[in-house]
Order: sequence, then C-alpha cells, then structure tokens
Amino acid sequence: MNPRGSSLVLSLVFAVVLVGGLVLERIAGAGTALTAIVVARTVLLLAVVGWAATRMAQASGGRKVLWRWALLCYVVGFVGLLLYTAQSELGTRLLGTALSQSSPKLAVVSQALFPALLVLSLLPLALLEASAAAMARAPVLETERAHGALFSGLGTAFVLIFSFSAMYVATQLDKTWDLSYFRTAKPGESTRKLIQGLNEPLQVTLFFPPANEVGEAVAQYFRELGQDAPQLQVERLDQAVEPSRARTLGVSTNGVVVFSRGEQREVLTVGLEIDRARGQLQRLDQEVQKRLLTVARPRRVLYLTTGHGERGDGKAAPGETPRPGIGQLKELMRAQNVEVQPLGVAEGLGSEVPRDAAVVAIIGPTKEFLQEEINALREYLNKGGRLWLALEPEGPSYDALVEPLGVRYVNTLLANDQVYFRATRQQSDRANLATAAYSSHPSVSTLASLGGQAPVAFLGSGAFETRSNPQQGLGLDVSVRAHEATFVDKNRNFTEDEGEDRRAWPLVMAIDKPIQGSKEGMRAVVMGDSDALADGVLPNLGNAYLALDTLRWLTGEEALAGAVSSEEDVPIQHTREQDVLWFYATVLLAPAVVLGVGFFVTRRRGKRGPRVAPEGGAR
Amino acid sequence: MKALLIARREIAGYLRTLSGYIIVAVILAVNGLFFNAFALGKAAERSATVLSNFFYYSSGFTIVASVFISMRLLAEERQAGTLPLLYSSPVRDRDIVLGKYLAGLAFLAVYLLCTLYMPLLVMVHGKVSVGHIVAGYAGLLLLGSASLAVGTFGSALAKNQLMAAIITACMLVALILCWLLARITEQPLSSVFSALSLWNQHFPPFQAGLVHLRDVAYYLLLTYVALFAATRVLEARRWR
Repeated sequence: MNPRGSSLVLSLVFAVVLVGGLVLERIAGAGTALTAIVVARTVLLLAVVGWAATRMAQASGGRKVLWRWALLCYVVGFVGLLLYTAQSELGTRLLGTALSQSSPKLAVVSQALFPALLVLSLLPLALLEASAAAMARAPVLETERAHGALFSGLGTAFVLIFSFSAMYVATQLDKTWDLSYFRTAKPGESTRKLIQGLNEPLQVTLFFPPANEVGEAVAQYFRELGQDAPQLQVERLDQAVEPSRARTLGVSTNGVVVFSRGEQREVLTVGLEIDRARGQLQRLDQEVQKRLLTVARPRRVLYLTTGHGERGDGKAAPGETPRPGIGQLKELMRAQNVEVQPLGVAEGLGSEVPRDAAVVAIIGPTKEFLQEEINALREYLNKGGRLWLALEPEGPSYDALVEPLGVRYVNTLLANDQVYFRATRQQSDRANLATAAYSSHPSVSTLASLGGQAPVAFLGSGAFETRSNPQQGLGLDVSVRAHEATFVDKNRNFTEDEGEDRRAWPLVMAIDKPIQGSKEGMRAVVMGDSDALADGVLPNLGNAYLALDTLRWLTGEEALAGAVSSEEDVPIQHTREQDVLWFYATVLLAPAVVLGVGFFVTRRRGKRGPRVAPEGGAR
Repeated sequence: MKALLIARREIAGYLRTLSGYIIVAVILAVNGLFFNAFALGKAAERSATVLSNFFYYSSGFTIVASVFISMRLLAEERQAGTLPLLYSSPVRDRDIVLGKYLAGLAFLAVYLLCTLYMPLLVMVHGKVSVGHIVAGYAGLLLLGSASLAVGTFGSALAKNQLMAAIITACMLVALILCWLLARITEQPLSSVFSALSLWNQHFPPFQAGLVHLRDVAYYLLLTYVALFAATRVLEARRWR
C-alpha cells in the first residue's frame, strides 16, 4: 500500500483520543472541565470519522476497501463512546434525566455494550493497521490479507467479550463446593459405656425444625448412641410447634439439646446454621459426654493441695519465670463433673483429709510437706484414699511422700537424643520426652488402645524406682515408660556421658493396695513430671487421655475409659525421628525415584537404538 | 484427533530425554524443602494449615514449572527452523497449538502427581479430607493450565526459548499483579482487575478446600483466551 494512502496515523489519533479522553474524563471528575473534555473528544472523533469518510470517497480499488473497514471500526468505537456518554453527567444534563432512572434496562444494556463496542473497534483496527503496515511497500494491495487481519481481530474481540460475559455469569451464580475437612463426631467408646451403664432413664430432647441440616446431624448422632442403650430416650421437637413443652424444659429457641434426668437438666446449644454449628458438631461427642456426666453421675470432689509451690498456686516470685498453671486440667476435671477444691493447712490438711475427697492431687510441689500433712495423707491412704502425685525433678526430696507407695523418685532430669519433641530447636529440647510405651493397666487403657497415635509428652521428667522392701500387699505397675534410648542426664548437658545409662525408665506408676473395709482399696498414681498436666501440654491428645484415664481409675470409674470421638482438626506432632523421615522422603526420595525412572527409561531406549543396516545394503 | 497426535509426539519428546525428568526432580526437591521448612513449620501446626501451606508453595512452583515447560513448545520449533515443516503438514494451526499445549499439560500433571505423597503424609499424621486434597490439586491443575496456556501464547510470540520464558514471565507477573492495580483503581476498573488477578483472587479458596465456580471459570476462560490468542499468532503469518 502506498504510505500516503495509509490510515495508520488517523487510526492512532482515533485510539489516542478515544482512550485518552476516557482517562482525562475520570481525572476531571465533574463540572466545566468534564464538559470541555467530552465536547473536545466528541468533536475530534467526529472529525476523524469525517476525514476517514472523505478519504474513502477519494480512494479507489483496494485502498478504498481498507478505508471502508477502518471507517467501520471508527464508527463502532464512536457509537460505544456515545453509549458511555449517555450515562455520564453530561448525558444526564442533555437528556434531562439520568438514563438509569428513565430507562434502567437500556442503561444496563448500554453499560455492557460500551466496553464490548470499544474492544470490537480497537482490536480489529489494530490488526488491520498491522496488516496494512506489512504491505506498505507492496505495489499491489492484497485485500485478502487485510480481510484476514480484520476477521482475526473480530474473532479475538468476540472471544474476549464472551470470556468476560461468562466470567460475570459465573461470579453472579456464586456456586461453591466446600470440600474442606468437616464431619460430625460419632459416639465415642467412653460415651457409649456411660449410656450403657445407666440404671435410670435419661431423656434427651432435640429442639430443631424439620429438615434442618444441623438437626439431622445431631439426630443421627443420638440414633447411633441409642443403639443397645434402652435407658436413653431421645425425642425430637420443634420449639415453634411445641412451645409449652419447650418452656417446661427451659428452652425458648430451636437448635438446642436438653438432657434431663428427674429434676436435673443440662442444655447444649448447637445452633441451626450448619456453617456456625460446624465446630460444635465436630466435638459433639465431647460436649454430650460432658452433659451426660453432669446429669447421670454424682458430683465428686478432687482436692488440689496448696501452699507448697504447686502448679497454679499463686504467682511466681519476682525475677522468676512463671511456671505454666493447670487451668486446662481443672477445666477437664469440671467437664467430668468433678468439683475442684483447694486443700492446704488452712483447709485442715494439717489434721486430716476431708471426708468427701474422691481424690487428692499434688501437682508439681516445689516445697516439702509438713510432717502433720504427710501424716494426714498417709492416714487417708491407709483408709483407702486416692492420691494423684505429679512431681518435678527440680523439686525437693519427695521421699516422705512416696515412701508409703513403695517407690523412690529419681529427681534427676531425663533426656533422649533420638526421640523427643522439638520446641526451640536447641539441645535442651532433648529433655522433652515423647513416649508411647504403655502397659495394659486400667489407668492407661485408652492410651494403650491408641498406642503410637497418642504419644505422651513429658517436658523435663524424673523417673521412679521400686523400693527393695515395699509394704506388703502393694501392687506396683509401671504404666508409662520412657523410650528405651532415654538416659539420666546427671550433668544436664543433654548428651549421654559415661555413667548415664540408657533405659526405658518408669515415668508413671499406678499403685494399689487392698484395704480391709474398703471396696476398692487404696489407689495412687505417681508421675515423674507435672509438666505433663500443665497448660499448653495438656491439649496434646496423649496427655489429655493420661489425665482422663488416671482420674477415672482413681475415682473407680475405669469402666468408662475409652476414646472420646472428635472430628476436630489436630496439630501434627512430629518427633525428631519423624522430622528426619519426612525430610528424606520429601527432599531426597521422591526426586531420586523420578531421576531413577528417567534414567531407566532413557537408558532402555538408548539400548534399543536405531537398527544398523547390514553391510552391502541388504534388507 | 490431529492435536492428540501432536501431543503424543511431544510427550514422547519429553520422556525420551533425561532433561524432563531432571526438571521434575529439581522442582520436586525444592518443593520438598519448602514443605519441610515452611509448610510443616517449627511448631505443631494443624493439619489443615499444613495442607494449605503446601498448596500455597506448590502454586508458586506450578507457575514456575509452567514457564519452563511452555518456553520450548513453539519457540523451540521456530528457533530450530522446524515450524515451517509443521505449517506445511496437513494440520491446522489450532491443532498445533492444542497438541503442544496438551503435551505440556500432561507433563505438568505428571509433576503434580509426583507431589501427591506430601499431602498423603499429612493425611496419615493428621485429619484432612480427601476432598480438601482433591480441591487443592484441582486448583493447582487449573492454575497450571492457565499459566501453561499463557506460556504457549508467549512461546508463539517469541523467536527463541529464552525470549519465550521472559515474555511468559512478564505476562504472568502482570496477571498476578492485577490485584495491586485493583487496590489502587476505582470501580468498575478495580472489579475488572480483581477478576483478572491470576493468584490472589482465585487460588486461595482452593488452598482452603473450597471450589468456587467463578475461580474454575476464570482459569478455564484464561486458558481458552490464551490458546485462542496463540492460534491467532500462528495464523497471523497469513496476513502479516
């Protein structure tokens, strides 16, 4: 094409005025400046269109065809701009009223058409000019090439318009599939045992409207729980339909479960919206068990000794790092319908242990007990009492406390350089023992059934040794042992040195002794580390079950032991061994396998190779 | 069907040389390092968080892998001077583009399949649903598909493989940075830029196990537009 006849300059002017005008309009905002810009832009574009029409009229042959297509693109773009202007402030002034008010449908159509027309104008125009530029020095114009470019641009513009429209429709549909982890908890072993052990009817009333998703999930849970449990009576009501029944049970809304037995009543609020009720449904078994224990079983009292620097006992001295408390343990006890009470000299420990004590717990004392207190505790044990003792390797001598139990506390720190929990990634982490070595004793029955799935963490533990001459009748069972590579770290350098033997040290021991006149006799559990029951460590599944099983055995409710079903997400605990395994598996093993396969495949192909033609060209 | 023939030839090209395996192995190793260092973390993270972190890092590696895979698709042919041979063969331009793209996608899918053991490890040690893993991988595949299509377009524009990689990277970065533009512009442009954002707007739901129709539509449409544009670039030889 002859450069003198090219529409390239005009097309550039058209595109710059069109796009630049829109940008300037956004910058100007409103008022006279806006009007001036719109007027100038419209006049300039009209001039471009007029000039193109004139050139087309003057041109002939292939050049005329090119001008016609360029003019068509200008007109389409100009119409798009007019649609845009009709909705602007200037358009409102010209039309007398806003288009969105006078004709809302037309306003929406023009809103959608304006960008579509701009794309339909500028994209084909750009490709048309590119094609024309390629023929700038050609003696004869090939209109077919320009035609191809124009249609290519049109096709691309239509694809863009289709894509944006489809995207808009998909966004408006707002369809979502939630595949993240969510499941309603199923009745756990422990809750089933609790229900099956009922000797009186227990009424459970579910208040949910019909066809409610949360209601269905809760009803399904109770259907499963009610199997082989004739004393459990489940009824589903709609609070809106049965307001008087609901009022009798103290309920004023739906989305509630009421547990009642005689005069006793407990309420569990779940909610009606599945998204909000998710958390409750995931730990439904836990929540139900908590209420069942309150309604179906008598309340027991656990006394926590105070005044000897026990955990959760007052504030740390100035300059000392506060030790983690046992708030979570207390919460766990309350959930088991156990009342937690303090017991110190002020509460009469100097003379005797209160008669209503189901268990006496001594958690992490850092000072020695008075002789009077020890006498009171010994007397309590001799009468068939229950003692829960969690000690500290940094503490004083506990000999007077543990001597009647037939054990000796080795208050030297244990460490393990092979299996331990990582916390700070320092050598001191080796004192964070992890173990899943449990006996079959009822005080750890759930842990024994879970095995490696629920390792217990002891953050700086001492160990126990059996005395050579324990009292007659004492039954001693090592319920939790340390990993066999654990050593007594006498010099606290977290490395095994000479004389620091590796052994499966006893960490927890269960002791019992039959007592005349007492049904179940004396029971005691001694733990080498009170950190295992402290806040922050107790949420670990193994530690939580250690506390629960211990409590159940001490209170004589070991028959209820068993896992509570929970579908809540769990933190991934990784010991050093697992860390190493994960590291090698992810960083080395998989890439090595890929390389191995690649090597095998390429080598095999290489061996096959192309056949060499026999000498002489014979085939 | 002709596209499938081209795809088969291309896949055979990937598998015949050790370089394809080396690319997958290197990306896998780096992905594994990130999984250990950042996804698992120092503290005991919840399994859903670990899985989400894994998909977060994997999305980055998927984009990088797409650039590497796509750079050779058409640019290599042009660089080696074999593109006219393809033009002269009885296949349409769209078959060439589709065949090359499908081969790249199959290779990317193999890479993604190789990373599957990482979420499975999380599944063994924690509580995650198969659905979450499926959603995450669907997101990775869709993100990879869109990135690969953009790469195919870049490869069609470039004269050599290096330029193809640079052009693709520029286009992908521009698409990723659309979320920044969305923040500084006003409506309706901010909505347009926000919808165009390759990662920020559309990938995080997949990470969390959520599949939104709009995100699936976005990746499929971006793939379609990019492949269409790549076809148009090949066709442009007729009118340029």
